[in-house]
Amino acid sequence: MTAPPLTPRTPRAPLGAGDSSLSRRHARDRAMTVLLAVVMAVTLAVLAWVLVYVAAQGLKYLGPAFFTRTPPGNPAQAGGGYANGIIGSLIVVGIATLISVPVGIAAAIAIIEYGGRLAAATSFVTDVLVGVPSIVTGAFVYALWVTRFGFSGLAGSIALAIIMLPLVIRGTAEMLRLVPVALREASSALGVTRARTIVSVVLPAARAGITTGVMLAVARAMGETAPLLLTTLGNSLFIQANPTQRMSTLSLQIFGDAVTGFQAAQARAWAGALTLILIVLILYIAARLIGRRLNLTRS
Amino acid sequence: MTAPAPVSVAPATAGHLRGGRRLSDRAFRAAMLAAAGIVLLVLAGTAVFLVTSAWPALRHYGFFTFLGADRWAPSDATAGSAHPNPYGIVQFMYGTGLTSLIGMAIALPVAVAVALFITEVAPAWLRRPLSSTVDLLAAIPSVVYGFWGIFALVPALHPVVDFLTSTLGKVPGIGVAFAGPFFGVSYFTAGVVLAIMVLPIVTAICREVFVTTPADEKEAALALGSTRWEMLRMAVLPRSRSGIAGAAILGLGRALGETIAVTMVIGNSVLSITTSIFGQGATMASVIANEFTEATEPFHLQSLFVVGLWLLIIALVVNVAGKLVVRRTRADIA
Amino acid sequence: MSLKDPASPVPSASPGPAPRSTAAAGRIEVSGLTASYRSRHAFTGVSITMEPGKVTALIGPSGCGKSTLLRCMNGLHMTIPRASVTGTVLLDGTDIYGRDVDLVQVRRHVGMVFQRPNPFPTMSIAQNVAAGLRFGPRQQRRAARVDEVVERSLHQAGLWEEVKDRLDKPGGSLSGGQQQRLCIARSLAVQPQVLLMDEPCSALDPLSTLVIEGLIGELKKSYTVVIVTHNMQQAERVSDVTAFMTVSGPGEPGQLVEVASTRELFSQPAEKATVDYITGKVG
Repeated sequence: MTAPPLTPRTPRAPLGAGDSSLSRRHARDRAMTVLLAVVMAVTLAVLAWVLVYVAAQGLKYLGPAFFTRTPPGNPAQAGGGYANGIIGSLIVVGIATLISVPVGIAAAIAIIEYGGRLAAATSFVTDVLVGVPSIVTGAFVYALWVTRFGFSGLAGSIALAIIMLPLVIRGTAEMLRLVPVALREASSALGVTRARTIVSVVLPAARAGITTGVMLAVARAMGETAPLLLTTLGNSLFIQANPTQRMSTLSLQIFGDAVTGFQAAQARAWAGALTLILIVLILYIAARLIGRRLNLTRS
Repeated sequence: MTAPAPVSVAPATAGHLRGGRRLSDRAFRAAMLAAAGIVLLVLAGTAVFLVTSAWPALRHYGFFTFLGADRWAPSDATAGSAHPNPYGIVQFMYGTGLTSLIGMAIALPVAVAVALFITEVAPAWLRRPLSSTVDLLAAIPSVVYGFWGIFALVPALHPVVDFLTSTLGKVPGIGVAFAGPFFGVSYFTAGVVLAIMVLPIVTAICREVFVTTPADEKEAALALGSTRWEMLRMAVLPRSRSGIAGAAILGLGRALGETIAVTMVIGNSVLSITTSIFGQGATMASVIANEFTEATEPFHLQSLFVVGLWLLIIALVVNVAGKLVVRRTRADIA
Repeated sequence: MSLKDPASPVPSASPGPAPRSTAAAGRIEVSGLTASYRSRHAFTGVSITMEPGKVTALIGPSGCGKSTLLRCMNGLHMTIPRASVTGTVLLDGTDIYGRDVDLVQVRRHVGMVFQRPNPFPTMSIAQNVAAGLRFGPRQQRRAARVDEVVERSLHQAGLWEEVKDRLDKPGGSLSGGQQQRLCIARSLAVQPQVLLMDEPCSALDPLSTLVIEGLIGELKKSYTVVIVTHNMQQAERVSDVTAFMTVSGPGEPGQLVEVASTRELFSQPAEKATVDYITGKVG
């Protein structure tokens, strides 16, 4: 290495004699910090705006009657409630959960515990399914089921189950992955079958995390409207608890009443929107809190 | 009293146990793999049923005529004639594309700014509360966003849009895209709502990307005598470019499929393309939601399935592309 | 020369009294410095002077605070949340932790090279070297000037011949030793007076290490060099002055035990702790 002689450096001004470009650079740095903070504040403000607006409008009408009455026959008429929608939501989402959770957990077990080509394909397809628009899923279930058996709560449940499925699989798979291999090995060393190891050792270890994933999927399903338009269709007249018939859900009722021009209907819709947001947010926040406690105890 | 002859349990039962063990393991494994198979069937079934339901219209009018017309007039349809195709879907693709692009144009810079703030500017104890709060935006159901959009957002947008139509709308050339009148519901309104809905996912991915910047590259930038903002420009943002692109694509994919909120604020004018972004229109998802249960004209329902098929294809392509970009970024980092 | 009492005045390691000049020579005088993270002290009561034109090595077992001491000399220590220092660090007479002093400006005078080579991956070789100039005063940023500075810095880092034909190739396309020399060139481009090196060779192969040690020998003619190293033989090879730090126990704050000219420290150390470390009795 033949380095030429090091040229002497230009003597530097002593510290403290900053030049104007330095103060300009600091000013720009401060301005950018302020800009980022402002954008953050605006984002939080928008969230607050949505929540506060819905709460303000919804509280005007929310009351015990809202949960126990059905809407009046004439939508322009004031009064009534969303009892049928709330019950319908519970039934439709409940059945969807009963379908998607076992299938989802099983598929996650297949991916994580068994591996292989089928499992790898499933993992990829799960990611793809998350990107399928929910209206398309509704159209699929219409073609598959409604054309044969008519509009029903069950058809809506199938559509919601398809939407929930990838969420349950992903949440479960992540939790299963976190269970230490040592736990599985200890169980096999005791002579326990693979199946029993998974069911009695691995799954319980991942239980809290799986519950979190399921809760988030349920929250998502409660808020869905589009696929239900094509499968459950809605029933704004009376409480329908038979899933083989058309049913209303909270989301469908809100949608139906919101787009009418009638004040009274919109008032009910706001109360419904507030109820729906509360249900979804409670599920969401509870799921996150459980998830956080999980991480804390682990560390 | 003689003791009963000892009965050897082992040989008699062991074989049964061993066989039993194998059977339950095999059955269990088969059940798990069957569930995996169901997942594959769901995706395949979606594609298959969409195609078969759309087939009658595709065969009657031809595959490409749907893309050739921008006029959607079901009342013009007759069972006999196939020309011209009254079910032109170009304006729905236009609506989907335009609203999603407006949404991303707003959401992407905001997401980058918020992610930068959370990961680089905010004190450590604020990071998790801030990210959780931004994530809450994703929990709010679509129908609530649409409802809020109509009654809270639209009145707030009026002054903004009036300003834009009176300034940008007067510029020759591009002015036609920003022209009034503005009736509240429009492509633009839908774009703004989409921006809010898509923000959490784009922010989350950007946060992940920024956090993986190696600390010693950031320190090297600081050691050269840069301010914090200069350090971000030197060490964090350049290497995050592909990750941000991936976040943008995934956000776009999410926006493409959004139905209810968009339906409620876009105006649902299905006849043809409206040139101004402040005009009313429709998207592929919104026309399906609006007309599906009342599709009585010849080939109306099947044509809606054609729209659904195109929506599925586009959404899948964009989402897979986004996943690949994000995965490649992660692999580069890892 | 022992420094058990941090309050006692610090004699310089070179013969004769050190001139207390405030010319921009690149002298760093640390006095009674204690560095902490939250309430935990990394080291306490360190006083030492780094003379221009000399290489000072900081050696000691891991956890003794030598890297933290290094990072106190360009203020990088303060970028960690809830970090603090008490005491003074004078750069040519100005306390860099003084109220009116801008640490961003300090780092233009005191450059740093890190343990693992860290060129910016999205930038070319030339862009890497010029990275520090992008935000400097306007006359530094003119294109012709930048090319000049890039070439000169690469010469100073002993890398010019190897990369002059591929200045636009990515910085990551070089070998480990070359990348480290690239980082040295990058630091030199902003024309500091002091160069801090935090175990610069520990991630490199032996041949690259030798190259960089030779480079240090050249660099000390124009810069004050301070090098942290866990390799005692390296300290013996490259440095003029060596400072030994240690901890009394796990979790305890580090202490500066002894500073002497390298030859003296390694042949006739004054403190028992130094003897133990050098002879390998203590890790």
